[in-house]
Amino acid sequence: MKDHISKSSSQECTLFKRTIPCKKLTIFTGKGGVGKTVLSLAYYFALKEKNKNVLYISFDPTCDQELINQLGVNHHVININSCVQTYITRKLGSSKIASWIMGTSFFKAIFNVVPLISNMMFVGEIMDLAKQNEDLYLVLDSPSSGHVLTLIESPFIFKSIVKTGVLANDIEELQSFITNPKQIEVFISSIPSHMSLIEASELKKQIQDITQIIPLIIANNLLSLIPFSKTTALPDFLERKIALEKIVINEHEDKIDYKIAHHPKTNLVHVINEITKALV
Amino acid sequence: MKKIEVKSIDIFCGTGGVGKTTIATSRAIWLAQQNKKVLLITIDPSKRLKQIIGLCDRDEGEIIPITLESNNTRSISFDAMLMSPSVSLKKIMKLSPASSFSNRIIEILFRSNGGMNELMSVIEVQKHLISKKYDTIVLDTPPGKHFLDFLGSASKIQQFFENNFIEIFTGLKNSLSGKKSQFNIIKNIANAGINKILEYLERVTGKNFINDFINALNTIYTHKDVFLDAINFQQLLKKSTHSNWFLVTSASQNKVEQASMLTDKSKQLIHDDNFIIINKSLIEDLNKWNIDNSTNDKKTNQSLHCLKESMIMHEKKIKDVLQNKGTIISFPEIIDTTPENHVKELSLMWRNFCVSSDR
Repeated sequence: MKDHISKSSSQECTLFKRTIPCKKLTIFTGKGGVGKTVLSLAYYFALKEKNKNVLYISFDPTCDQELINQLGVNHHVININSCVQTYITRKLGSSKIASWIMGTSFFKAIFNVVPLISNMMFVGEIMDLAKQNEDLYLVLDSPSSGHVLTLIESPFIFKSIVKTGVLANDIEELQSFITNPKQIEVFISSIPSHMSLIEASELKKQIQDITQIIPLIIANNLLSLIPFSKTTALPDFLERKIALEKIVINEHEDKIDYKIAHHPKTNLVHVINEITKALV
Repeated sequence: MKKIEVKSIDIFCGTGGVGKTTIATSRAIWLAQQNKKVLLITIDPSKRLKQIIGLCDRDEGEIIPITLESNNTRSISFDAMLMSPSVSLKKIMKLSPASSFSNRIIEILFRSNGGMNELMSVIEVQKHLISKKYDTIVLDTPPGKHFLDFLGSASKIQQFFENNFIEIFTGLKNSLSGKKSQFNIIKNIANAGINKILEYLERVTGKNFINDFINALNTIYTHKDVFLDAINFQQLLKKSTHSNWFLVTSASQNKVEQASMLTDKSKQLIHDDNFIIINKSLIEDLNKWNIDNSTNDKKTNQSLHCLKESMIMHEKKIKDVLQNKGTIISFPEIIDTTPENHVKELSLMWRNFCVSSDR
């Protein structure tokens, strides 16, 4: 299968203080409020500083919309209904049939209990966006409560039950796309707690096993990286928090690829700018 | 402030990483210390409960008795379970938990993230409620929207097990295997609709898939009574007499709008006599924090004040947004090394919010 996007991925840029090839698709994932949106927006702006043509993709339209509008981001929201409609229409050659199928109670009943189908369609949509424009870079902000893992696994799971036919061929294309380390980079964000870092490292292994992409783990929101001098008088609770954080980071040192400091949350735009500067 | 009473079910929900599992476990410990018989179930596929009380993957789907040692009182005992939709189904089908499903589609559907997790959890909870073995069942739910799936399971069950579908699929299965079936005209018309879908589907997926698919549905339909029984759970959730529910949010995260939306959407499916738990609260310590401007240089003072103000304002905002969404209770951030100590310390806090026990 022709590799449409190899041209852009061979360009290099300095991000995260290292020179790396810019990947076509950069995914930010991690469970809970670990800073995915702030990090993906900072990365978006870092790429723009390097004069790249970038698209920020997300799943939750309502939250953070104000922030995104304020920043003037080139934004694409993945919406389940339009995704499915587009795919079925394309496969069966008629949007009328697609609408009819999606309207039947039978389809709805199955669709509601099988997230596999919608996950696969999401991957398809992301792949379509990637193919549309050779010079376009994509930054994907994963759904807040789900891991990107369910998205990544979906074509593999589906392939194991649909072995032949038109759909099977499509699925192979999705598998090929989602497992290409030359085109895709994954950052797993975590906060400096045991549970979060354990969860991040489990997720890393799961993604690696399926795709051969090696995700990078970011320990985000570190108080211990705020540049206080040794003589600064800090309250007891903060001293203990920072001490505990250092113990946790130390214990999981081998898992962590990057560390990002805590930035006071009053102004998210400001936080994003600070992190963008730190990246570039 | 309204006190928390002991009820048959305590449900903990919230966005990811707020501390649901930790708080839910602390609640189970508190209740166990009040001599209540407790079952703690985690429905979250990531099963962080394993780290807190020392369970492993092998324990999935089974009720495990837990005993924790305590420094000042006698030991704490309760039952715990790592929810596994596949083990639940195997029990319903009278298969051994160690066996594999012969149908690949069933195997996939009933994995932890396969889509049937929330539905099977309702069935599992219902089973234990009916057994009347426990005073309280404490539920740790999966993050965010998955909680809404859990609450909405009854309507999904109703959709999935619509009588038409069952009869039609039985008919289809019979015709696949060559057996005759009887249909009246109305059913034939409905049947024609499904036939059409399957025809289209066959074009894209191939015939084998369709056969596997019909067989999978049939297997599930065979046990429809167990599924349909679980619909009663929905009725229970509407009454505040039978359940407490707690929306957990973290003072250190930026998810207050999501927490607010989750609460609003949940109230369409469950009673509105809920609590809002602000976890990892630092407000007391923050208010006590006195910055002595004379000890540091101007720049350091500025950044210390900035840090303090931002943290205070952030917590205040959470309280402001959520104050009308339920009774707010705060749990302080416990700065402790092990998850087990952490959870024991948290369990002591429940004393402040609960109706005095009948010890």
